[in-house]
Amino acid sequence: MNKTILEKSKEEKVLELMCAVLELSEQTEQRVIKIIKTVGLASFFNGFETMKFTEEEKERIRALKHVIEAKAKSIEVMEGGK
Amino acid sequence: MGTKVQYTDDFFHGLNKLTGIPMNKIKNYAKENNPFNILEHPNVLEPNQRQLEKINKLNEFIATYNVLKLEQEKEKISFHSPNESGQYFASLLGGMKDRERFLVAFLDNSNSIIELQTISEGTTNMTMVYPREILKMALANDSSNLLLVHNHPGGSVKASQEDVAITQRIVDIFKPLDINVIDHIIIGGYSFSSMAENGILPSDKMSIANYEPIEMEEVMELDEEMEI
Repeated sequence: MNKTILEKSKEEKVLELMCAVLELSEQTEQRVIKIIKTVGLASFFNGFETMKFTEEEKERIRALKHVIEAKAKSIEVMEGGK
Repeated sequence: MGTKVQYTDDFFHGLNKLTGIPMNKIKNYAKENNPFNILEHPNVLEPNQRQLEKINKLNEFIATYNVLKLEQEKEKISFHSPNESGQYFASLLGGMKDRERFLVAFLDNSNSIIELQTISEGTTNMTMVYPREILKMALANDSSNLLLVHNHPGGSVKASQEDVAITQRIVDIFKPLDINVIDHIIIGGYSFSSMAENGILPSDKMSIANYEPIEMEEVMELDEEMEI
């Protein structure tokens, strides 16, 4: 397995799904993809509030961030601090 | 407590915003149920076609996002404890109720992943495992150790006697080659159990290697399962 190729395709898949979930304009999608490819997913979600998006776009990204965080939290709780 | 309430509220708003499911519907359901069931079993809210599609996309995104995030956090994925490997594989297989999957992580001598392969995908309660395929991949990757993983779509994380027997068969094949099975992780819902941690992981060869395909059936009755 070529790890680099695999990771790249995973990243592409995540971005594609993320765009489908967020339903952003094509222009914003391209910006989001470019930012994530540069800074990574975690930094994007940590820093999007300071980036140049419309309030509606920010609301959608914020909503996704909250769902991801809540879901991660629920997994931690279900694992009972294992 | 306040933080938890805030978390739940944010989750509701997020779900509403991204899927279009009305807030009152989400909140009413969550009054008496685990709100995360909405993601796992979207039909509980009787969503329309578009809302269902959005939830499915969201689920798919979360699963792939978690895997990628883990991989980005660790350049080289190594397992130093059953907890680490359990959490890793719970991210990959957690919440999968549609079918049973059997994965093998081929590891080097420091227990870093060389390759991770889905060996088989079955139905909700049965899958076939082909030891010959695992052997071919282990040799091709020059693996020192193997880590076995499968999910129980029914949600139980208890290792059945059959799970232990299957692990024994794989140990019988690999032990003579000096390739160790270091654990067998079982994922149920978003939880996991580790045979190594629970002291039920077979470690020595017990009989001659048998390369015939293994039919794995999820045992649903708890009395037939091994208590961990």
